[in-house]
Amino acid sequence: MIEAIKINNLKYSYQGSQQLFDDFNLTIQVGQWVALVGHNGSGKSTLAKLILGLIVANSGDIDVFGERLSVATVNHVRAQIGMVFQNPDNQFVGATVADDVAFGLENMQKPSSEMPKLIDEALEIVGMQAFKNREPHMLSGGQKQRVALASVLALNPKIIILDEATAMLDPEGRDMVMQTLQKLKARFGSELTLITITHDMDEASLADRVVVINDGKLILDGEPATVFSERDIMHSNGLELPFAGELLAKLDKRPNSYLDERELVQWLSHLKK
Amino acid sequence: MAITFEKVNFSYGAGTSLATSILHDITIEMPTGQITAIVGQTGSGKSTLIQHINGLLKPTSGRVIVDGFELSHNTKEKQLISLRQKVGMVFQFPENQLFANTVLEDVMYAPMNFGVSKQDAQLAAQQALTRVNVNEALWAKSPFELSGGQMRRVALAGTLASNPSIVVMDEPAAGLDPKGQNDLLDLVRELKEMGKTVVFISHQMDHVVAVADHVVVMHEGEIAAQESPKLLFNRELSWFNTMKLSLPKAGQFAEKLRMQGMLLPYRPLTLVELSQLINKEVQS
Amino acid sequence: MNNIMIGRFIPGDSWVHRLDPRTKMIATFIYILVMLWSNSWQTYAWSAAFLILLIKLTQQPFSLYWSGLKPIFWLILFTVFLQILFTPGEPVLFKAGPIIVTLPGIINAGYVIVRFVLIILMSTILTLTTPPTSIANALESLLGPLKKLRVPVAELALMLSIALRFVPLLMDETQKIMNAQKSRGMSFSNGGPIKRAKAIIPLLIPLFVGALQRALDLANAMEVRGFKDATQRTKYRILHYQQVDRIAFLGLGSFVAIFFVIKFIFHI
Repeated sequence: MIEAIKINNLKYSYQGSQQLFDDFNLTIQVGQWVALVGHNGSGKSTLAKLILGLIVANSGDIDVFGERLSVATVNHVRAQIGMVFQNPDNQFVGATVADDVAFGLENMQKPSSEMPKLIDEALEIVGMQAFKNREPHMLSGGQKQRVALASVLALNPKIIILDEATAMLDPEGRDMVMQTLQKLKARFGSELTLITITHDMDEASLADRVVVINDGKLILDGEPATVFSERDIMHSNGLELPFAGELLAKLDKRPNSYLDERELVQWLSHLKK
Repeated sequence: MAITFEKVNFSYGAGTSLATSILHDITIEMPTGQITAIVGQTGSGKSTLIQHINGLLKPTSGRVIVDGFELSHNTKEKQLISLRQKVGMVFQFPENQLFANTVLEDVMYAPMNFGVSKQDAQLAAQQALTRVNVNEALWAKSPFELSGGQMRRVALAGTLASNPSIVVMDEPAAGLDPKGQNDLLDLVRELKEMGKTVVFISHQMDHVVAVADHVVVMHEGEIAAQESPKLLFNRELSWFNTMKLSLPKAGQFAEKLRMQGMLLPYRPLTLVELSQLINKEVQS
Repeated sequence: MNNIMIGRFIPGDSWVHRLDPRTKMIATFIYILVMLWSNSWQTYAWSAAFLILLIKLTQQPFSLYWSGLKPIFWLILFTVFLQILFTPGEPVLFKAGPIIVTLPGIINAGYVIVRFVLIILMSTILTLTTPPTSIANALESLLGPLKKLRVPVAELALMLSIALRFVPLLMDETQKIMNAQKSRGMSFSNGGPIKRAKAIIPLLIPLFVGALQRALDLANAMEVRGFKDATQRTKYRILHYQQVDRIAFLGLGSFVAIFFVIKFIFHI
């Protein structure tokens, strides 16, 4: 079985400064939703840039769908990966929502006649078709990020990486983006591999798998319930648990295993009855 | 009162056909030596409101009284310098304002502008940098060599160095990771202990509950409430929906418990409070 | 929130909005050229009438156009001042030392105001009803023949459209940094010229650093979405002249023809 992303013995250091990744390994299966978490400066965003070939590793290999990343393959690899960045304003290329979605299609040299349909489809998925002719400064941060997502979706990527895409948004915008992601996952299922880079644990708990990184090292890796059972390790790496996890630790009577919020509410209400 | 708004109205382009009214009839008080949180949905007028505290904007009508200084539509630009000396202002993503060759010089900028001697400014800058935990090894470096979190702290020091009696912050925790957020809340508490009046805008109700003595709720340019967090967050759920405001996470959790039939005696606002209530409930 | 109207686009579905951007650009260009021939109140009246008709057709309120004129108010005033002072002729209305005000001077000044206002309003119609990308596209298409001379027209057009896209953002940013530094006691009104020039550094550096950061981010975002070369791209917005454009050119032609007829009748 081919993996979506396979990282082998990756080494990377910033110019002149200390080693960030030293023999780093990570494999991501096709169709998985992986949350890559770590505090600011832990190296998680650098990893995304390495995967896309925006920066180059000192040594080690990155394979995307079995294809080794190199100067020769970088364009083909990128064509399979979509990425949404942190700052909503700095990735809005077009003058209107439709123009922004069109930008990638124009680069792919899609015929003009096909574009309106592709743009409409992509905007429909993220629920932004009503804003098609709006300009960026008339949109909220959450709306801009959904347009960024549509721009990426229009190119039919097999992998989408969101690099702290909600960090600059207000709670409403954050909820909007997270709901859109859940819809995406429900719609595309195993056809879409999703990587969300974040330090918000409520966001991470939506994923199938949580990978904790600190100082370029893999600290924890597993299902959310497994990772969030390690409260001390999370804290010592500058992270918190989702609210339910922190609450769990403070209860006198606790369940045998980690429960997410919905499960904990259920469990507690049964306890009372 | 450190800050009083009296019937303040504000509109952009006042007197033209394109005038857009942003603030309507704002009357509020922010007590001296306390922490006031301003909350409300994006676009409710929070940022416009706080820009009246140091005269970046002047009321179209009404007046703002800040520590004895009266600001109205005919306040002269020259007079504002004394107001700005009293009020330290930290904007959203304040790291974007850094400009000097070194960290220390950047932090000295405000005190020097307010007429402090170079030596005293340097001393004040060093103290401010120490307070926000910027390591001495970084002081002589260019601010642009620092990490995002460090830059944020240097920018905070840049406001604190002029020793303002009032500190106003616009979403100071935006974009910070959990540790950075906790450090910031500690700093806010510390400022209060030093006797300063603190005003901050936040979207995170958990931060409001954690530090604020007093909360101002804005909605469509008007004041929807001004009261203690305890009173505020015990209002009816439907009110929060109309204000597009969320409860602190503990309160949200309690509401979910209630939906499943587990009723707590009152709505908890913090994690500790929630866990204590649940523990008691489960025991009985 | 800013009040600067120059270059701002307001989406709409009016007849003018639907015109091909090239039509609008050519029309604006011709209108401005024709203005240079205007030298009587009759030709100005006719040009103004035509313009008012166009503004009506854009379905945008006059107040919007009016606020677009405000930023250049001082420029107009200055030019008018020069016209009044330095136009010789008879009769002399007022004389005080070297200052001589003549009737032709006053009339000329009046013409200058009208000409200025008409030209600005015409360009405002173009920018108000045409998205920046379309303006860039139109420019690329109209300058197309220059490609043969190895002028990188496609690159320039893309650069222009991105620059236009970031103008509001940078203006916003300038305001924010200005606010931040003002809060830290920045003042432009103290000290001599050197001190004042120095005072602008805390404004310029953050602006420059911020713009550079945006540029880097944008470059990443563009690369990730498959951008390689401005020439190897298809176009979402294809320009083709339609019935409306033919009508528009007909209208423009009639305007120009009648303009010269009027000019001929009243000024031989």
